[in-house]
Amino acid sequence: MKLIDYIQGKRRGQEANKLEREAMNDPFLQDAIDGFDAVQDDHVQTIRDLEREIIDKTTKRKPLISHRTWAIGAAASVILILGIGSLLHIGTQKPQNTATTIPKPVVLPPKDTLKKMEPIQEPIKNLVAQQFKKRIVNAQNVNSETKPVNREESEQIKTQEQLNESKNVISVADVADVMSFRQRDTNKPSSIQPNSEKEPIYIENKLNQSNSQVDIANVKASPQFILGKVTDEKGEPLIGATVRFTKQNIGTVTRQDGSFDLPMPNKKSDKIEVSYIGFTKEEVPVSGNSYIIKLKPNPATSEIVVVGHPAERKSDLSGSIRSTENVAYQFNEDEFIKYYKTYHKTDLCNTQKYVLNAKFHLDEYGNPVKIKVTHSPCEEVKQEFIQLLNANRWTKGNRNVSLKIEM
Amino acid sequence: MKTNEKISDYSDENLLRAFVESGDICFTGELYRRYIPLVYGLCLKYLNNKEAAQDAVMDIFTVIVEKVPQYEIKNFNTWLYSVAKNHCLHVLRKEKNANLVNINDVVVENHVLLTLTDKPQSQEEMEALTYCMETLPEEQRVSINYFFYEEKSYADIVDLTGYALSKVKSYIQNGKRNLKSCMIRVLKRL
Repeated sequence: MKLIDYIQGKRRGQEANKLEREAMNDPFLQDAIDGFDAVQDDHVQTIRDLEREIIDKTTKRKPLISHRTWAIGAAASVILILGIGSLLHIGTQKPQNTATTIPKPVVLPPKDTLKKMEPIQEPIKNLVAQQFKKRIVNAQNVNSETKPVNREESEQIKTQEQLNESKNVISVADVADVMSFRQRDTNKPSSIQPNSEKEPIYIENKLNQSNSQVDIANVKASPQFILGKVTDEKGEPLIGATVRFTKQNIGTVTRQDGSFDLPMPNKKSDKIEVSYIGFTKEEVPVSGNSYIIKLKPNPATSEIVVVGHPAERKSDLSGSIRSTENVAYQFNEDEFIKYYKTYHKTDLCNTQKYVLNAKFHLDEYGNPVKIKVTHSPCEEVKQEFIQLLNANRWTKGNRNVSLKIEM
Repeated sequence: MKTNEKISDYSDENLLRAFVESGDICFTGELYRRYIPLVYGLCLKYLNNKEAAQDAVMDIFTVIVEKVPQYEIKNFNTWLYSVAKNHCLHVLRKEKNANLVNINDVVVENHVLLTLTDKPQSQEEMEALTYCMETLPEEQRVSINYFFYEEKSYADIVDLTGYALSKVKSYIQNGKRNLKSCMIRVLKRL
């Protein structure tokens, strides 16, 4: 009898007993049997999946170590293909340019700019998308016989150049998308000329990318990547939320539209952890390519008081942190004396012991006005007192106060 | 594929040799595939979580591919057992919230010598065995009787006695240990 049959539930009779006895002399078998009993699941299915995974992994006839070099090779070839493609593309563009009646000096990009790997700026992307959107409209409105205006044409080439740059940062999956778009487009009977036909291909791709920032669900993410968006309960995007894996040191922050992307984790049991200040942390198990994660506000952190320390005054340093959220807090004579005693400068007038008398009026908002210090050991203490008095608004206004502070 | 038909007929030893000679991991893949039920069960036992166990099964394969050429493996089964178990313990050590106490119990259990399956040789041994069986607590005696004399499986014994499966297992384990120490005691006195 085989272990797999035993797991499958054939656990009765002599055969099963034989296996169990065998297990007594084989700790490996014993551990395995214990394990299958300890966790309830469709073990047979899992084993089949694992077997398939191992076989898939090994029959590619590539040693494990060369996976990375393979990836580098693939990336290099993609860049090469893109480079050649864009060169050809410009090549086809050029004759069209000279064919237009008025030759205009058009500055073509030097070859090496094509290979630059600068990530394209978001606004530029949008700009490109917009310009090409315009182009689509033009291409559809204008018949194939009518030639586009020259000025516009030079602009197209410029944007084409930008596109070529941006293409270099598009992932392999995007390239696949471009390919599929191309096929679909060539099948369609098109009224647009062949050389202008290529452009909508990119546009579609570009537009799709910009759409992904709005509607994640419409995007087919490649299997190596996870796309997602973090929002609050109402669906408003959260900008700058932290997104990371719990078992790997990989993470990112969400963009302006709340979107993020991460590579697929190499552990199946990994989870995506999303945190944002003022919201409860969420952990989402990895099971797919696209996520919309909604965070719930966390009432415990809804009030955060940030207090700064003035650097110059030493005696204020301990004093600048104090609670401001206490609703029942009453500021009156007693509170002020406490406040004064806590926060006043101690090294004034060469004395620690003194009496200070003062009279003042509280206006309707509780601000002290018409301050008269009737007794103080020296001018410095008087100034200190006035400064501290002016720092607070009293709870009850519209009254006169006479104050005596004994130190 | 052509090689795949052949490969499934290879013995473990031949697969190992083929891998070491050619460096083609399809041989290791096939070899490891045969042991997946065992390895997965082992991982389940130690990690007690199916996702973690599945990760471990895949990780252990990478370890195997790395390590096989470095060792002279006489018995792949026991070698793989130690590699897999070490990996699981390693994973557990990394996870702080792992329940390490359980593992120690488990390890100790496996160290109990399990030689009772052989039939007693001499008359003295037979008598000692009969005597010692009587001294066992009832659950242990009943479970041992069913398991060793009537060749019932654990599941059968659960049906026959109404004990829980885990109980049956521990009755048999403990019963065997008690029997053994009892017999050693009795045989020494004779």
